[in-house]
Amino acid sequence: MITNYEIEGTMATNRFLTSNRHKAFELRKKLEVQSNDTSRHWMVGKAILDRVVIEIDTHDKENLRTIWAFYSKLYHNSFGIIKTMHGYHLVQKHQVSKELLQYSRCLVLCPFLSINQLPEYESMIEQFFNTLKEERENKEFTQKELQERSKEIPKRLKDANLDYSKGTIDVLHALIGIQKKKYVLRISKKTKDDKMELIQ
Amino acid sequence: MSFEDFEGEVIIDYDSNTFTVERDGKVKGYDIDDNSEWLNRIIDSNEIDVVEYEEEYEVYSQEY
Repeated sequence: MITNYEIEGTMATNRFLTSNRHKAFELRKKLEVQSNDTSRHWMVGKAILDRVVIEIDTHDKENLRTIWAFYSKLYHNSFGIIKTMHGYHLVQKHQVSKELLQYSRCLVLCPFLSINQLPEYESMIEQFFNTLKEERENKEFTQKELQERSKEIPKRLKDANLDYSKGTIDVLHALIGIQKKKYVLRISKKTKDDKMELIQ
Repeated sequence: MSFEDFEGEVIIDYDSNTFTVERDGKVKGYDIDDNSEWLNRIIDSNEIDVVEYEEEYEVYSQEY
């Protein structure tokens, strides 16, 4: 079953959900052919529902070491490292219990958050998304404006006292992980030479 | 390969991008990409059980 749904607030307006990997890749092929917009690139991602994933958009190894060490210690749960075209995916090696999953996702952006502060933090995140949503509803953005806007979101998140993450991570990825209560890892290639490599 | 030309269980292995079908009493393996049309017809058919992983995939484009 393939379902099209819209992410509340800000992000991609067209997402299709399926439990069948083959169908996902077939659908991607169709969408690439159908799409008149050549700048739009369709991807297939796998949902990670049971652990924390941190995305890094740079190959800076010192940054990688800092983040890996900090979050491995914070969670008492080591991270596997997947090297991608433009950075790394850090994926927790062990599952997190259901009760602590959302708290664990929030710790990526706010490492000193206590479990008691979770409802308040989640509410602030929701408010942040609502603001973004209202902006999108009140204005028609061009592709370029949308890209510019996405670059501003990390700063806005810091200004709203919602981001205290360690090192240079993909803050948007962490933010969307909290909103959707899952992470989506791209598994389709961006180019023919694109490959993902498990390095640890 | 004809749509009717198989029997038994179809097992899809997404990790190796292949699927196996029982034909002529033997289990044979096929590449998913080379036989995608045929495989889609099997998957779309309600009469046939297809073994799938219980996982979740998204097809999406980047638009922030």
